[in-house]
Amino acid sequence: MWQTVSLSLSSRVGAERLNRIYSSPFRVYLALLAAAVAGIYCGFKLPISLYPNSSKPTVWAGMSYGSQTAEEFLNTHGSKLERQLRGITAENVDVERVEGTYEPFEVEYRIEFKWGTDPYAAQREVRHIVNSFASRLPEQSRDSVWVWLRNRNAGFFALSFYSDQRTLDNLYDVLEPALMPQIANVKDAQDPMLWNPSAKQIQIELIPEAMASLQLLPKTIEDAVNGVLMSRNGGAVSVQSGAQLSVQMPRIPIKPEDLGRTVIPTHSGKSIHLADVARINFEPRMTENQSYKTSGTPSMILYVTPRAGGNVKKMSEDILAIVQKTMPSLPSDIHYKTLVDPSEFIRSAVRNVSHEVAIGALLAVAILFVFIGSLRNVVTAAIEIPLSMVLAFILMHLSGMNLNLISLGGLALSAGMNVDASVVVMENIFRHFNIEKPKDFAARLQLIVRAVREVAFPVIASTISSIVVFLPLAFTSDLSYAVLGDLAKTVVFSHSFSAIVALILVPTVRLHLLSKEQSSDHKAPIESHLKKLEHWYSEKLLIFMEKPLLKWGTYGGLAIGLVLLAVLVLPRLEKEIIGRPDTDWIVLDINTRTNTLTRQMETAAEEIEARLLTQQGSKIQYTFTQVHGPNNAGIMARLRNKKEMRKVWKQMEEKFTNSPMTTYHVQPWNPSELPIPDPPHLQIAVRGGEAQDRADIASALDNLLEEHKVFPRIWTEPPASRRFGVLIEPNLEQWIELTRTTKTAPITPSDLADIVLVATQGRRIGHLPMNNQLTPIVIAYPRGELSTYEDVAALPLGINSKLIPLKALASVKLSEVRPTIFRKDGRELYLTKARENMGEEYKAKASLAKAQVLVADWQKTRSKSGNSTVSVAFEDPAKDMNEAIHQLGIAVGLSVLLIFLTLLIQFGSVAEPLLVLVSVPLGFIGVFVSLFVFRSTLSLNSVLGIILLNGIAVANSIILVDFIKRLVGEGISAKEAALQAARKRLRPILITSLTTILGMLPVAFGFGEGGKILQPLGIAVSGGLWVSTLLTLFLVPALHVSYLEWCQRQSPSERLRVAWMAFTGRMRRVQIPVFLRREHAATTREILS
Amino acid sequence: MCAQKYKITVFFALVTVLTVAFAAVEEKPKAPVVFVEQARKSDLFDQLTYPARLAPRVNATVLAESEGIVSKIVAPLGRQVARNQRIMTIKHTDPVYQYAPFTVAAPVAGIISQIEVTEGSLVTKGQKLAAITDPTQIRVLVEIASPDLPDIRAGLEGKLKVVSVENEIPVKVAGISPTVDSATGTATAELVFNKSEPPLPPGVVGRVSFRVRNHTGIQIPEQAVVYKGRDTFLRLIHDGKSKLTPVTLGPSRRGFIEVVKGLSDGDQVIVRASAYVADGESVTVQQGGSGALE
Repeated sequence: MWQTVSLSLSSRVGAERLNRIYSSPFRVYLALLAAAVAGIYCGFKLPISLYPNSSKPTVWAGMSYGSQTAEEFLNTHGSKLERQLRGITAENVDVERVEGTYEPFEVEYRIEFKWGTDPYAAQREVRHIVNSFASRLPEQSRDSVWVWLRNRNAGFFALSFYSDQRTLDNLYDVLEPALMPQIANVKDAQDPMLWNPSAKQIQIELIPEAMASLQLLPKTIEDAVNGVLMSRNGGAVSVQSGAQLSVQMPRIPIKPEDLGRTVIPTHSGKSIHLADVARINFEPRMTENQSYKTSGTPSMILYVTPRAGGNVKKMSEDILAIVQKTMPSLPSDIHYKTLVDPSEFIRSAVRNVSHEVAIGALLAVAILFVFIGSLRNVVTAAIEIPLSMVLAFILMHLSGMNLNLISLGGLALSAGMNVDASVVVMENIFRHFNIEKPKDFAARLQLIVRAVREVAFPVIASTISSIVVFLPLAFTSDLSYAVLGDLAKTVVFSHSFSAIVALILVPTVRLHLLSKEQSSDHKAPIESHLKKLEHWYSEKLLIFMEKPLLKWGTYGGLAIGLVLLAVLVLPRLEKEIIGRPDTDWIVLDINTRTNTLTRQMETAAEEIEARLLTQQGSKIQYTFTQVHGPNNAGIMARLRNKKEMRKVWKQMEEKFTNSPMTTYHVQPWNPSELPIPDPPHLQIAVRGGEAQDRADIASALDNLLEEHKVFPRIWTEPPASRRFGVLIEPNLEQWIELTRTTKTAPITPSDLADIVLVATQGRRIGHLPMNNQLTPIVIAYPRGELSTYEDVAALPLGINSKLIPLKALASVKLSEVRPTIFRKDGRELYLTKARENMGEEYKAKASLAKAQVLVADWQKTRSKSGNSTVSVAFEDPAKDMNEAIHQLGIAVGLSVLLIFLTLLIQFGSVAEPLLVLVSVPLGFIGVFVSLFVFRSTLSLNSVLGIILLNGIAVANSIILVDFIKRLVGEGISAKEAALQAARKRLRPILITSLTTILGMLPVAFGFGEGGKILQPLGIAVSGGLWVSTLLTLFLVPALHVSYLEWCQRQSPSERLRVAWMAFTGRMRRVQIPVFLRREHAATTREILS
Repeated sequence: MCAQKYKITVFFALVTVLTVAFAAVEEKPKAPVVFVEQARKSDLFDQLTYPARLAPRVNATVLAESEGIVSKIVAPLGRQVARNQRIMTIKHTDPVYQYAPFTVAAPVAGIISQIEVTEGSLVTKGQKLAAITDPTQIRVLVEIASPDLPDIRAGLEGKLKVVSVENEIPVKVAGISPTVDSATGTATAELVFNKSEPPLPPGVVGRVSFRVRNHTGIQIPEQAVVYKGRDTFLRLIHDGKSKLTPVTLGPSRRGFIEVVKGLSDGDQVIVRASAYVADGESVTVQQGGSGALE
């Protein structure tokens, strides 16, 4: 396409077409206005979300084993299910990894899909497999099956509700009917949940001795209770009048207290009431023993996740609006606080990006004004910034993109770049006007067409160069494409439009305005300085060219410098996938060791929160405390000012130091972080051999790393340290005797297991509908009865009117057990992982090297001592990231090659493109230095910055090389041509470079929400570009002159031979389009004549 | 120009020096804070717990001596009776005895706990009429699992816990049945109260625990043990530094574990630490927080 454009612009036919376009301004305005309106419309239609749509869904599924043990379940069902999950095949659904974690009571599967998989299709497939599998499972497991999809790209929305005057249950009863039906109707909201941590259950607390002396088993109670819980349908009676009377047997217990009246049959023939052998309690659920507090007041959470691809911003705003609208009608003591509101983040990110765009645009405009003068001209050039953005919306809409932090960042980046084309066109028009000063319309039209055609080539070449560099991105890994695809697309879209606008709108406006203006004389405010600068520059350039020592010294110095930077600085740069956005939430995680009750943790958390508030109270807006269990809690504090994060973080780390009983962990928390994998810094897999050997080796490995304190945090998944459990082995011989002599229904080994289960954990036996909710009913032994394995051994059983201990029927002993079985892709393994503290990631490389040496030494002694088949292997936890960065590196190379090919076709020779490309390595120097100096990172974004920079940096040398070549073509000597070009082209080069650099400065500073994400990109581009520009101004003309002089010394055939020798055979076959060369030469002659 | 260059060089040199200095001043990791327990020889024992049932020591069954019709019940259910006190009158139905009434007397003093007949009932010879229980004299019946039999002897003292009484009640094994019930795998042991009998009704169930296998030894909290493969270690403190010491462990009891070998009286054992304690690392001992010895 661009060939045609460049061709038509430089041909005679094209000239006529341009004449027609430029002379009818209103048609151009109208067409662009229509396009702009379409763009704005598309812009409003674009869904807004935090991050690009491309996702790598992970689906979780799980179930409890019921009465089976983990190993039993794994052998009978688990491995089969894993195999089925791994084999999921459907359109656009690819499984990447299946992990199964078999905890003592339940299993959790984690099914990771490949990038680009539709999350809902993935969830559907998993649900289908798990549900059909569940039909084979025992009833208790079947009922516990769950499948869950967390769409991390979209974030989630969470509010906490609290009241200091009412109980949570009461609060729930008020809020639920008022809010939830409305929220359920919000578009894109998925599974809204109002979570009441104090939700109750009915606990039937059996009295063990009473049960035993009556020879009752838990299952007898279960049957009896379930017998009365059901209401039954008795049909209907037709009455003579035609009416029908339905007949029903309602369930008996309406209230929990009624359950006590359940009649239980006993072996002696007497019947008793449930209340005789049990206490009925109505109490918070045992298994979900958690609590939430907002600034100290017990709270409940409203939690909503958005549908994949949905408009998160709108969803959050709608929910918040519902809450705000409903609050006045609720009692005034009910309050709410925002925990996570993605719309807030998106809003400020959008605001921030618009600020960045505005600041960038303003800076660019300021540069234009300084260099060009006339405010009106500046404004018309500046129109291009928003116009090309608005036009880009159309393509974004068509390609199914959404507005997110990444694509908005692309818009911010291109703000400064987008004026470049206009500036070059406008500057050239002015230059011609100032020289020729045309009097009538026809002359002006002629002049403008000529001016446009003169620069059309460099404008199109440089635009294509800066777009073509993004092509290799399409072939990089899914990860980088997912993260950066949107950014690249946005830059490409808006930048291509900017070239079109520059070639069509800018000349039209110029012609239109100039026709009205009397004087076309513009003086830039710094005209005299510019003149001086131009003079100084050409003077210095001459000196540079004429002093071989200086010249070759500079070349050599720069080459050595570049190599040194690549060898010394580049590997030192910290690697990450993408920067983290700032946050105002900081989390204090508390772990204790010896608590047995959630209440103890609540008290402890209250004290710690009070300490936190006395220490940092002035900086904290409010806190949100989650008590997850007796030994774990987290206090989240929302800071008043994000900028104080580092300070507060540091101070908290100093104040909350670990003690033998309590460990703390302080870390900022960002609910709207880009959902990319956050791998540990070290990962060692222990595979093969016997399970016990594997566990021993993994724990030894863990110990080895801990012993040398290689990393601050080291852990093994699943825990490989020794765990003890209680083993109950029925005495089989005795069991036969027992069955023979027992008069009543004999007790079985599974009854034994059931009694122990009820005694230790309790068992859910049914539900009782209460207040429109199903309240679970649980049977259990009194809590706190069992504290050691001896207590299990002493559990009473009733047999033949004797009260015997459980250990009479089975041996009960303490034994080492495997607590958790972790399987990855069907293989059991242990993973020892480690990581540096947040904010100290730069140490990771050295620590990893240390660990590798340690483990290698240890392996030697290990292999000497035994013949274990267990393998210990370091794995690259950051494989995805390294691969992504590596592939991006290749993309950088490819982009340079693409630029070269583009230039090759446009220039029609090999030498000029090579000269133009000199500015690329010069840019690298600037990038490495600025990334290092500003302590930025080598991330996907900074590499993308390098790619972007390649595209922009060549623009400067294209302008120079093209001009020099043209002048030489007219017969001017090489050196003179270089000096002339330098003088004449300095201004556009400075303008375009400065607008781009300044336009990206706001990004490089990384202000506000999400600013940190794109910061490395801004730093790379602006840092690289100014170095590149500065050096290009001297090096490229000098090299060009050297080349031209060398050409003159050689005979043409010799020249060709030598030049072509330098390239491969394939290169030799490239046919330079002859017509291009001829046309080009003709145009140049025409212009200059 | 030259001065300018000089300044720049100095500036860069300064920056370099400062960077190096900052890197060097990197803070050293703090010594872990630990809780320490002093190893002490103490009396150790295993605890055996059993469900127990309170049964009356006196539970007499009154049978009919001959056939007849119950004519009058004198002592109804729950009535306190003395020995030889009349409970009921039965009239002979056999003409041989001329339909004469005869008295059924209480064989023991106690309370009527069961009456199986009503006035007018026809009873045969040997039929159960009533039961008399003495609630003031109770015994405790415990079924001892066969593996524990060698440890339980007559005279062994134990503690009874019932729900309705807060404190544990001291009891003593009075005797054990020499045979084991093949169905339940237990032998019945009879326990008596050491001191005065508490006012508990027969039929109450509870739990009895015995301390057996008494000996002296050292035990430490379980969490102090460091496992490395099959080997077990303790972290002892020598001169303010941790020292990993191999030990041999014995049985574990209620959160504590007996150390059979490797630990001597008076050794300082690290029980809990704020972070991983490496071998030979200096530690700060925190006072006051014991390893939760009961």
